[in-house]
Amino acid sequence: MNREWYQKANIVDMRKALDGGTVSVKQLVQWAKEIIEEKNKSINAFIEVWDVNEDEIAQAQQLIDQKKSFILTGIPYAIKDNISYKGKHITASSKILATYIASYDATVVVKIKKQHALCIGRLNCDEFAMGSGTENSIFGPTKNPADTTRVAGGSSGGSAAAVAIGAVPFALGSDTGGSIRQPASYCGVVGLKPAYGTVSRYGLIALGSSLDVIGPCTKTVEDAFIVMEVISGEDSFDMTTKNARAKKSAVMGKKLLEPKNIKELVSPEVWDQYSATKEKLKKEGYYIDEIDISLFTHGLAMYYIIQPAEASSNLARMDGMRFGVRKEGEGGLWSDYLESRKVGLGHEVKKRIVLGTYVLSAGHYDAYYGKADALRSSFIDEVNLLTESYDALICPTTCDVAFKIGLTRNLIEVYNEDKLTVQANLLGSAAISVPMGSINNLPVGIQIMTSPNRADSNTILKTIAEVVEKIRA
Amino acid sequence: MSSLEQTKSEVSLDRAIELSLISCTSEEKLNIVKDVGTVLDFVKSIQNISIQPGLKNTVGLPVLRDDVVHIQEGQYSKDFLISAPDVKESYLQVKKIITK
Repeated sequence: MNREWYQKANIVDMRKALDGGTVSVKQLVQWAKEIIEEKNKSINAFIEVWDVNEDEIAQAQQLIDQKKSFILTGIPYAIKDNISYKGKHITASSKILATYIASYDATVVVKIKKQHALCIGRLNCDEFAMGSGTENSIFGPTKNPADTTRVAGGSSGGSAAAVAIGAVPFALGSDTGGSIRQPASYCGVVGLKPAYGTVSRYGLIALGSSLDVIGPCTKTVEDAFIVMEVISGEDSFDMTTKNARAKKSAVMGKKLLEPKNIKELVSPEVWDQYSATKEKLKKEGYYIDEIDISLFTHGLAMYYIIQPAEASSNLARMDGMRFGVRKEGEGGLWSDYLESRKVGLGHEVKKRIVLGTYVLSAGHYDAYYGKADALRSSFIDEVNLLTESYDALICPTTCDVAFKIGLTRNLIEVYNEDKLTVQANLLGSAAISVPMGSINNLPVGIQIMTSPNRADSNTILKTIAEVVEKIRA
Repeated sequence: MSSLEQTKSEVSLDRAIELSLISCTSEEKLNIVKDVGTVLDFVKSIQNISIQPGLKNTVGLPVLRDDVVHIQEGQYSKDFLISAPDVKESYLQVKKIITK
């Protein structure tokens, strides 16, 4: 075993090596740090690398030596900079939280700590997870490991890039409108967005509370579900969680649905890759029907009303009083709020807060938020109805390959990055992005999404995703 | 104009900026108004979509559980105070706003 092996190894490989005694926990942590040291300067995935406590390493090694290891014992990992880890800085890549130290562990961190996995640092993201390229970060953009002139995607760009460079076998991200799946697609790794309520949001800095979910970026589909199995479950700190552990599926997951008219939304090159993958799926015995989901293409408009509305409410607490950076104004408490938010928040965040305030204001509520919320209900019902006789929905994860850093585009073109991913968040469905190929060495992924009301969604998703993984290999 | 009508009056984007507690330079304000206006023009498209009758509302149905408090009073006070901007004894210190 050497560093090259570590860089390519997944969780299952590392588990076997650790339990077989061919590698030590200390060695894995050392290799992780060496890779970060070598690669992070050009990628900017890690914004802080932590010293792993010798006691933590010793405890993990002891469990392994005593043959009492859990699936993640001794495995290095990293977390997005919007997930709380007690005693460590957490900024959500925003200036306003530059001085904030997490006072408690997120539930997902507690669950992983119980397994004695070792967190080695926090990862770059867009400010308060608002963006699709990690360009809206006070730490600068994360670069795509496949081409450093391009973005790694966002908002969990750091998480996807950290896995892609082989620094860690898994990283946690958060997904509000595609923030795990889109960077996973751009970086050529697997990105899993669990169904809403499967994983506790306690300790995640909220963006859109009805949309947010924490999930993993990994090298393989199997790894993604290993991590999800560890972090999922009911949590008394998050009232929206429910017990929805993977169940055995009654069907084999062979009937797939593709939303009609998506061809015109994606680039010809991505469509070619996607069509080739579909053909291979058909050879594996899958049926793929093209069905008109009338509200599918309106998902983006619904999302850009609901998400800013929820964000404007969630970010009201960022006023410089309770935590983070405070700048005193000249006119008392009110001016302190204004000044703190003026210097602490970035342009994209301010814009979405204003948009959210506007659509929630009494005079505009019915036309915007009320309508979007009602349509969201209709969309859920429509998909539930249409997918009754299907196992999952498939489409490309992104419309194109990763875009160039600093590319000037109009705002709607930027938001279009989320065109095929926001639907899963509006529906509350589980969805996964799996690499399906590359275009000029730039990776692209296929997205598999289940119906929101299926209890066996994890099993179905895993089955289909593993077939995609197999046929690509 | 009744008080209800006053409440329901449409706020301008300038007013929405104020309500958002966003203070910005005139240049930044112009950019925000322009960008938010672009997004509003885009999302307006949903206003023309009719909602299919007979579909039941499935959003916003929370998982209901017993209303039990799991956190002890003061359990996290010490931890929260670590990162507070100003602290006096065991309390957050904020600016005095009432003077007599």
